[in-house]
Amino acid sequence: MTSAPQVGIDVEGRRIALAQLQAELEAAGIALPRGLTLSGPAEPHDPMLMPTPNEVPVQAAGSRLYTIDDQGNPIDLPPEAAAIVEAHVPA
Amino acid sequence: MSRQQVINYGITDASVSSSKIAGQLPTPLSVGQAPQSNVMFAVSGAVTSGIATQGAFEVNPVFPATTTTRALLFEGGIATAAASFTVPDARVFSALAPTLGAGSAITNMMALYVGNMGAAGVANAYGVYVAPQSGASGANIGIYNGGSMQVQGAIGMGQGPMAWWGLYVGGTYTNNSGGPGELGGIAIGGTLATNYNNDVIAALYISPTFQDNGHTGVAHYAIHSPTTAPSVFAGPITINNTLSVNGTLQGITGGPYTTDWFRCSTSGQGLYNSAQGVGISFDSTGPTVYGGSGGKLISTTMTGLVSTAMIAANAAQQFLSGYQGTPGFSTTTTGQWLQTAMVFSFTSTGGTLRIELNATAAHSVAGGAWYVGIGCDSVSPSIYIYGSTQLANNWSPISLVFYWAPGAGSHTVYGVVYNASAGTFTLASVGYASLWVTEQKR
Repeated sequence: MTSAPQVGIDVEGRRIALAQLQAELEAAGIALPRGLTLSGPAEPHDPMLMPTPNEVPVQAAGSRLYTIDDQGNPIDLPPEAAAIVEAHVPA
Repeated sequence: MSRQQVINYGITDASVSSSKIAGQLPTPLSVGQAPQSNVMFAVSGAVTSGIATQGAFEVNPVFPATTTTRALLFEGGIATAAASFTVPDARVFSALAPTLGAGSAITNMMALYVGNMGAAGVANAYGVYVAPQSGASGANIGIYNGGSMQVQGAIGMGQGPMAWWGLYVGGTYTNNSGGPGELGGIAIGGTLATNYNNDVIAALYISPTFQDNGHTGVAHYAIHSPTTAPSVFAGPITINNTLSVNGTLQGITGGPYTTDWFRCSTSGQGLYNSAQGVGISFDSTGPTVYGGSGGKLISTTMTGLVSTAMIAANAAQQFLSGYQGTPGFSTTTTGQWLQTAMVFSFTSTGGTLRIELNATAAHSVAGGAWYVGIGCDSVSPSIYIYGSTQLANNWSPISLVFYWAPGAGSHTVYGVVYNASAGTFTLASVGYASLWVTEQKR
């Protein structure tokens, strides 16, 4: 079995609005020309509790936040991105 | 007026009819030789008649009408004195080996010749009639032949001979031995020995010449057993010609890997019923069943006869591997095929692979476009579908099937996505997503 990429930051079950977080990172000077990707085990949630616009499903521990290179391979975010991710609160 | 002359009890003129001749003569007596003390009456010497047919004794009496019980030409028996002794060998008649004079020869030498006893007025003719022998402490045998025997006519055992049976065993043969054993009409035992390589030793050899003499419908059998009693052969039977079975041919014990099973020695041979045109043949590819036009067996001309239960597990298709879960994948990356959590490797045996993907996807922007596909040994998809989310975060179900024939070996399949619009593309964890690979074995 081949698993998903294990690069990036473990979001540890954090609620994330991915587009909002990308804007927060770019505002901090972290260039993300190829955007952000959040991949990994997700917490199945109640179908009646749909995510808000721009909010991705709550990720379980082990889910990874990363970007990609020019060939589409997952790569780590710069180290300074960790604090911004930690401070992120979906609007 | 008669004349007689008696000298030393010898008779020189037998034409006399004196009462002295008709009475009892003292023994020993002899003809042609001196009397011998151990023989009551001896005949020897040369026959000198000069006639082509000559003999020692010729007896041709005529029995009168008063012979109403039995006519006897010669009758005699051994009697012994009342004393304790044993005669090792007693013979009523004893034929000795001939003694041929120098230069003489005999064409047919017979110890006993019996002419035809049958004639008009004779009810039953027997050349030699032997009464049943019994009472002896040892053997009780009617005729003992220490050498060979030739019988030109038919032989009847237990009954009179029948001209159309060379040897007919009739009568009744009963086991009176006091315990169970084996008995029957004809038994072949003894020892059959050879002094040569490649010899054929047969306990019973059957090779007659059949002559129909112009008649039709004549059946020829080497062995014909009209009885329904079974035949048992403890040894193997070799059939060098056609084996025709009008009844049932069945194995008694064993299976396909024992010598008890029915066997064919030529590829393509098997079992065939000519009446129904059905059969089973066997060659290097295995058994082939011919059902004919009306048979119920499986054949290449029949369809719909193989039930699901007859197909072995994995004979038609086999599940190889798969993913089922909540992939939890979101990305703001656009214009790039991306690998998701739906990815796994497997090993196939070379059959065509059926790959099925099911998921639910949404885009955070109304009108956001995206693609979801299946990558085969690559993130670049082999097949994909296009979607556009008309309302922000409105989920769309996705279903994809792709057939792939990569050949045997280890392979990887990927569930891949492509975000075509600015915003966040998400594979839903509201429900499960799945990615399956099944190998088609047929």
